[in-house]
Amino acid sequence: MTHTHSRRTVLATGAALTGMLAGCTQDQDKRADSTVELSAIPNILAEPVPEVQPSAPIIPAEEPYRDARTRTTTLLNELPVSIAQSDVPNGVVREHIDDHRSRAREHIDTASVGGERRYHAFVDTVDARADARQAATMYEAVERYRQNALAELSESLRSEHTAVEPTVRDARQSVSYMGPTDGPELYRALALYTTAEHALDNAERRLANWELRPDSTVVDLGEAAATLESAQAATDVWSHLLRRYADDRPAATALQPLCETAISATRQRIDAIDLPTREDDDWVQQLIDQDIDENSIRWEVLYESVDPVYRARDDLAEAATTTPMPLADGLTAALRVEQEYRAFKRVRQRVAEELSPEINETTVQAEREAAIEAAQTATDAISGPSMARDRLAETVRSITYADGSLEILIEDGVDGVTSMRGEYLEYVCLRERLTVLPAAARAFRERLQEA
Amino acid sequence: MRGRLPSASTPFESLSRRGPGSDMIVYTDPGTVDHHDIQFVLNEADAEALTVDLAKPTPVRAFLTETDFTSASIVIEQRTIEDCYERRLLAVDATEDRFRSWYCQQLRPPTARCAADTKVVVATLIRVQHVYEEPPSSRASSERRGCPAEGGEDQT
Repeated sequence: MTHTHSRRTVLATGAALTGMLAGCTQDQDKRADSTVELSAIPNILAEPVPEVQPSAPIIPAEEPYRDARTRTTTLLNELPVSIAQSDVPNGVVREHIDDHRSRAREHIDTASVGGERRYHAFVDTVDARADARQAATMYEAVERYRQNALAELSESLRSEHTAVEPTVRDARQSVSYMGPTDGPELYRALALYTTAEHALDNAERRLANWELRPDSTVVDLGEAAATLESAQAATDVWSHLLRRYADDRPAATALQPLCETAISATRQRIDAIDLPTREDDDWVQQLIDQDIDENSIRWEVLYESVDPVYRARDDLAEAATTTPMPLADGLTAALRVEQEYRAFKRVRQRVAEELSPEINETTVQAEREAAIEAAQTATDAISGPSMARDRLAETVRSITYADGSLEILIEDGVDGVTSMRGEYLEYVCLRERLTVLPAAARAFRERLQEA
Repeated sequence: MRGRLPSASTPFESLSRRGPGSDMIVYTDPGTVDHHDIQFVLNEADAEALTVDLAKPTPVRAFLTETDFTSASIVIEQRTIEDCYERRLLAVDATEDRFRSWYCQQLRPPTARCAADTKVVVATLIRVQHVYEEPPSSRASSERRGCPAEGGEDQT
């Protein structure tokens, strides 16, 4: 397998190709800080990013979906149609209430939907309920403040916290990986279980960090209520989806041993790769048989591409050495290792051979469009519900985040120039992450198959 | 450390007043004071020379005239703040050659009538129990988001 080659093997292969370039990199890299006109941004962003939905491993029943929407609407109905200054004199508080109401409405704006869209809409009700609750609680808190009765609201939230904590804990503990042991049905099961486990872990963690100070403001109280609502909503959503899957799954074999074996096998493979220790001052330089200026684009792109490899490797090690093994963390890190290491190797090869040391409109646009093309190819290759599909959706979304930082620059219509360094690095890395994702998904599935 | 609260503050009393916009509201010569200056009022003559650009200047005038400059000095700090937030003075450290102040800011009560995304200026007059012969050469002020319990702008 390519990804298990040691660094030295890969470096030796690349050395012959890079020798002829060695003399010119320094001078070229000095031009890397060239700037891009802001007026070029619309052109750079012209190619639309494909919409890639994450997996929809199980379709919820209509009733719980309707209940979640009703709960959101009920909370929103506690607010007046328009909040007057006399109701909430503090403009920041009024703005907070309006913002959260708008966000809640956006989540439930679409009419009731079916099929895969219902799964996504149902999962979205967690945020919808949290936003609606935050708006409603802030509004109530203003009234309680006037009555000098904020302490009662705090007390009521504390009681709710005490009640919801064991509910979420029970839901989290009931996530038991059971299902078919191979093929698309296994991938579907893992997509559901890992997403559920992460969502409930997140809810549990936020409840553990939950606190109300005696001097909490109405905004603090709104946030505290939103955390409680979100935790209860996550429990409602994931308990239903897990129950529904249990009724639907074609087999119910315990998947824990298989997952643990796959996680451990991936860990052994990544640990066998000779990556330099990050304690060394010149660890980035050690990644490549070529002198690289620390201030150059080549250095930075190498760093940006290899840093996630170390993080994924560390996350994998942490999961693999925790008892009981957190499967969602372990499996997610295992897939990231397969993806990030492959992406890093491709970036390193490009750094050695042909990566432009110059940032200009053409090179930024070329990297972005190549990333989009890779996203389309990967979308065709990774279709059914699976962790790889979720990873694909997440990676594609990262293109829009990089785009967003450029869009902000032109929002005010200001003329000028920008370095675009960060965005360029991001597009280069995303291009390779998307290019290798189908191969990474196959390798990840092989680990599961071999387990 | 500049940002860390001292274990003990030099004794002080303070009075804060808000003014619309970002122009300074307490000054001797408006052209010589900017938002980052800390003004020192060290005697009655300095105090009388101050202009108080407020609709109700009396409390500020009273605060100044009630000061015994043989045992205290007046320090004035003026900075802008979001209208819906308030600034509270937590501590000061006044020694012969330096003056430091530590503030926090927090959201004003929900019933405070204020506008989002609007800045106002807040003048904080500090009556510190230290007699400066002349303004100290070292001056600094820091501010953090979020205040400890016992809220509200100082209204001595």
